[in-house]
Amino acid sequence: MESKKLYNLWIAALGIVLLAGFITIIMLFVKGHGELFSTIDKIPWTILVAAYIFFILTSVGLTFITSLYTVFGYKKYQPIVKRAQFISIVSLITGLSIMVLELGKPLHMIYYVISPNPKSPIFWMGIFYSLYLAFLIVRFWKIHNGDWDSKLSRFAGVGAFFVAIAAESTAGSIFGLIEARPTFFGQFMPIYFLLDAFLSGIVTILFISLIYHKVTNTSTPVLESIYDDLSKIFAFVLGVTILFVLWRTISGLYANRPEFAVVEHMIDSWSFRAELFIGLLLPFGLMVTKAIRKNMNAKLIAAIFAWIGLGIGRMEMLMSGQILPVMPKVSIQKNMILYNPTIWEWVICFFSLALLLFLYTMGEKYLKLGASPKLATE
Amino acid sequence: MAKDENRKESSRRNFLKSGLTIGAGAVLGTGLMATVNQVKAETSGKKLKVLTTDGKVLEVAESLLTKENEHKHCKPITGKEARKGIPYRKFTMVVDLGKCKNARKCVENCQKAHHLRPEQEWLKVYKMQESEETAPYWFPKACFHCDNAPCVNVCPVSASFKRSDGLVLIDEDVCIGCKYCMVACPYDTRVFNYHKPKEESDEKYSPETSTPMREGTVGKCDFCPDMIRQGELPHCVSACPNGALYFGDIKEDAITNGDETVRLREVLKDKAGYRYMEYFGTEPNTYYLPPYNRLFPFKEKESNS
Repeated sequence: MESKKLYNLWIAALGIVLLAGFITIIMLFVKGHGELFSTIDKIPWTILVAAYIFFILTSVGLTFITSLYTVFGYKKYQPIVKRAQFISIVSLITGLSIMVLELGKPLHMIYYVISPNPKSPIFWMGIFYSLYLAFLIVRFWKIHNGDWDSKLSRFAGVGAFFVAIAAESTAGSIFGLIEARPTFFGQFMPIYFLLDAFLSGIVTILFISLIYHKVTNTSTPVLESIYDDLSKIFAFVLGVTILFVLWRTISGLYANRPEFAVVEHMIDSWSFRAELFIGLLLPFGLMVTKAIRKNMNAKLIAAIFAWIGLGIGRMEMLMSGQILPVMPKVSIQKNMILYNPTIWEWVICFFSLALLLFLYTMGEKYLKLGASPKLATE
Repeated sequence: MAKDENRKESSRRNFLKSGLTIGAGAVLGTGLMATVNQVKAETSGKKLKVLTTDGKVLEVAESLLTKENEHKHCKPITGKEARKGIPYRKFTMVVDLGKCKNARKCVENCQKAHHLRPEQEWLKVYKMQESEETAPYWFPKACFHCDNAPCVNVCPVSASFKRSDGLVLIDEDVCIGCKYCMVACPYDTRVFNYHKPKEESDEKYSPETSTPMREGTVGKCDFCPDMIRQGELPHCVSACPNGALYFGDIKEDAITNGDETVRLREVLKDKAGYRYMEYFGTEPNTYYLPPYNRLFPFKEKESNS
């Protein structure tokens, strides 16, 4: 009875956010981006792009989690595969939906087919993500019908893993190939995206699963052992990400080109500090301490902090290449440009999050996301 | 010397072959440039005196004068035809920084001709200063129509395209509004059409006129190909009261600001012309002449004359 009440409250809360989102979307189509969004030509990509990256990273990261069983054959992780696979799909759908809202002319997407430009990373990202979605759906459909190991099922699972790598690194290359913006440019950006995707995947599966088990009281020793393993990987990936962020910052401070002045500016910002201290160092500290790591609540807290850090980090990364105008003359470059999202942009971000959580909740209710053929051990 | 000869020889070359551009501002008292499309011996109607670039005073019927701002676009070139370019041409712009005083007529005329909103500037005039010790100068900057244009490379649907005549244009009927081109352009030349056009128009859209603009797509300087097709200069060039902007054809090695026509290669050599941020390797089709021998002292406050 108590849990039903909680469930209804949860659905009602999501419903309110979704309703606000739908109203905003209708207003967006009627009034246009110019009326609702904080529009600055010098900062073309804003919070909706950050949200898009956040969701596609999560999707790909969850596919990496499923690959522990699907690609690398660790049967122990089978109990979390279906849930991870489903959240991966809804996260991708959420990400793609938010991208449609960001585009000025979404109906012109038909020109992807009519007049494609294979030189464009966005073109390839579109191709890879479409393929990725198809693989994910086939794989999930097969799993849902109890077919974990047929040729087609395995092909879809393995295919999703490899296409996810292609898609995510191509998404990174969208930034990494922009020579005009030195803080974006470089071969590390695609790798960084993969790394952050992995982190996002671990954080999301821990975050959602632990809350689910807490609410439904469905935790088992096998599952707890899986989450123990994941928290070790979590600590490792956090460590690598911290190294990456630190070296990116140090190289930015060391550089003389005026474009890198943005790094100094970023260090002074609350968002950078929040990303580094709350989103990375604090969960890292929790997860490398064995006594704390063993505790399920500590895992959840670390995941929540890291999850907040990932959200801020996406915005931080996106702004690093844009808040300083591209014209490299001292007279123009004295001031950074400020970007503050409007209330409507925030509503759409929360709408997308609510959409993901709502779809996940429906999946949990109707699709038996905890199912696996057997709780096998390795 | 050689330059003077050129001026004499090629005072009215190709761009102006069908039109006579005249500086009528002083005579009309309006401060506007005017174009005589056909000079006929009309006798009826109000007559006005206009000053030609050769220094002659002509009396013409007012009806024959078309104010630049009221210029009508030629028949819109659309579809595949708009992507081909004008045959045997390669267009270029040259900006003489010594002549710019930030009068902003170029910006205003461009905005009027393309029905842009006040905040949308396809051509921007920046105050430039290399360092605190060096002198500031005004720097007009439109699209550079690069031969190796990053915006064209990154557009996922080929809405941005490069033509045989050197122009980089946008087909707003194809653009998905992803803004990748805006992020990729090293020169900050593109603007997003966040709102509907300022004025309603019955015109048929053409990438050559970029009007009426499509909300939710990207716009930018197009070098006014519709004007070029009519043998006239881009709106910004004809509007500049100080002749700072030159437009011309690389293949013909000729550029004009409407007052004088000069050899492109010679002027680039004589005045040490350069391309902005050459190191990007984008091969821009806009050249700058350094601000030596300035016509005007630099004034922070913008001047409107």
